[in-house]
Amino acid sequence: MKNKFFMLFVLQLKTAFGELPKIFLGTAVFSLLLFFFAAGATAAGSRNKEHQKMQVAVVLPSDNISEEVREENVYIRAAFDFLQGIETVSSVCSFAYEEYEQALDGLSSGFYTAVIVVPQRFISGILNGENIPARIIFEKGGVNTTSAIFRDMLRAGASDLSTAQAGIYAVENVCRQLPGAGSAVAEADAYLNGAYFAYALDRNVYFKVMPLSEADGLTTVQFYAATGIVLLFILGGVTCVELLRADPPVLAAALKRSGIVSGLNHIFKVAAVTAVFFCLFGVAFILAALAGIRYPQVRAVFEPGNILIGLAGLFVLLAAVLSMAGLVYKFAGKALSGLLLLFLLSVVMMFASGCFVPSSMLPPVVAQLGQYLPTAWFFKLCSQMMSGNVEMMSIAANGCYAVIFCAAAAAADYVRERG
Amino acid sequence: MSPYIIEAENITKRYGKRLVLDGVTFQVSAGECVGIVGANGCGKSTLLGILSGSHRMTAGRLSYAGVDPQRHTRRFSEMIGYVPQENPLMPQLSVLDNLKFWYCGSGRNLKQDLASGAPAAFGLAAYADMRVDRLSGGMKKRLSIACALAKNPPVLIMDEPGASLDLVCKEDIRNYLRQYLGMGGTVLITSHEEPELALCSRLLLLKNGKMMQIQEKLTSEALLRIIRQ
Repeated sequence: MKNKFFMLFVLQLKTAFGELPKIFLGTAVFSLLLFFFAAGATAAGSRNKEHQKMQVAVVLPSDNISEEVREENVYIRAAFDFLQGIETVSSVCSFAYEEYEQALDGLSSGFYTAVIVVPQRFISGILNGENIPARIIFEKGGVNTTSAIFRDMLRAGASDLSTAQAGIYAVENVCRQLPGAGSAVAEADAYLNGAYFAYALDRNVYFKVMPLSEADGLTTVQFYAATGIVLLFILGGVTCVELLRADPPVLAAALKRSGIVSGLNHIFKVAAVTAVFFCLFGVAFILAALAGIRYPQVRAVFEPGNILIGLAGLFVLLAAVLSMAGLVYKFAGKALSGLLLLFLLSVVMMFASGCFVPSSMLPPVVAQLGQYLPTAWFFKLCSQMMSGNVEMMSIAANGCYAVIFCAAAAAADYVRERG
Repeated sequence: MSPYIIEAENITKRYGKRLVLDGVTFQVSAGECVGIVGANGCGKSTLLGILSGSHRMTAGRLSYAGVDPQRHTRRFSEMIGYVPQENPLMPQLSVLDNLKFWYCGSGRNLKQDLASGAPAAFGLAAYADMRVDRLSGGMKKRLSIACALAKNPPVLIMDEPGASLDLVCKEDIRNYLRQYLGMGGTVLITSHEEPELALCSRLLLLKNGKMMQIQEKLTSEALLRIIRQ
């Protein structure tokens, strides 16, 4: 083998593949950590979900007062049961029927967010236009976000109801005054009831759909899976700190004397480590794609599309991530400082790029800045790989970042050697 | 044609405002073994770094058998073998892989040398498959020297080769240097060790950035006196 450059590259490949067990184990440990963290967070989230729901006590007039009240209570219960059955309502609150004193005790102990005291003749009041208001009681010292949300929901509900009421009565009056239209009252009431309820209860009428992040069309699971994968690649760089960090000055000088230009060895190292990671994650990519054929649950998260383009994207993504890690190690000098710097930088950049919380929830300046950070493009390419829509622009951007990072590392070598 | 294999003329090196080498001039003939002595921090390693092409000089001129190192880098790299104080080895690779790299393009046969050349003389064949980061300091130094000699250069520059090595290793290195000199090689060495300096045909003293020749063979006490003066 006459070519020294080729020989050096082959030796770097050999070195990197020699570290394969360490890299594999390290990556497996990080994967497990990320998996358990994600699983734990999901479990905790679902466990708390029931507690996070607002508990609302409903106090009805006593059935013993009169037959009329007992009859009204049946309709009121039916109305609350109907509301409870609607996903929009049931996802945020649940109703419990209580006696007045018990409801107040629950409110003061913090169990209930609010108590709705339904007055006598509530329904007949609505029907005859008397409108006897229901009383909503909140804990004086315990007003918080939850109770504020509930208050606003009630206001919105009351507003919907009064609008419906006004509309229905107006049409009813018109019908009664028009000769021959009296028979249309029932039909108009039924139609308007349906229409007003449809608007009141269909939240999609009021809320527009916003993409969760820059990566349009991702499900929540795909979003966090992409975040986890990018984080895993970056943390994977931790396992090869010894491979990627700067050569000792004497070795760099010796290589230079032998004709290896500044930074070339670093590029070979990044390429070699990328090859190792590609072998690991390429296999995982293909296995996941195959699993997707058999299991729809996998396909729901990972739909690779064109495998070859996906693998090309994976290679470029790994090259970009690892060249960034290499550059950080080069500037940090010592291994430990490199690890800390890489971790901190990555977390901050991923946060700003909208990988942890969607960009739309970040301050505009941070979100604007974040879209130019390399992590934004890492995330974009990764999410496109998961949804099978890899764009050439994303591959090119990641490729550019890999070139920029390697060039910066080479420049750092050159400056150091000149110094 | 110059009679000298190494010619250094007015070599000056500054680190910022600090003048480390102040117009150092000397010549070395082919086949000579020249020792450079001086107190710690006097600039010996800097001078060897410049002579090996690892450091840049601020001013001056250097030539190896008429070859300008800065203009003919390839020929220059074939002319010298440099063994710095720290070992320029790739630690995650095996002894054999390190040797393979430095032998690459040399036109020499590594297998043959492992049997009868410099690597064999340093006992490296037995450690061929061992990773460098698992070698002892002495073995690493032997490997560094073997790597420096991969191209069979006519000039060997060594920076305190015996520093912090055991007696056996030092003796092996000295033996090899005798062998190398016997084959017509030229050695430029810095050292604080009397047995290594005893190999030298003449000594140069580096003091306050200036180079001066020590004419006669000196005892270590006399040398110490001169360095301290």
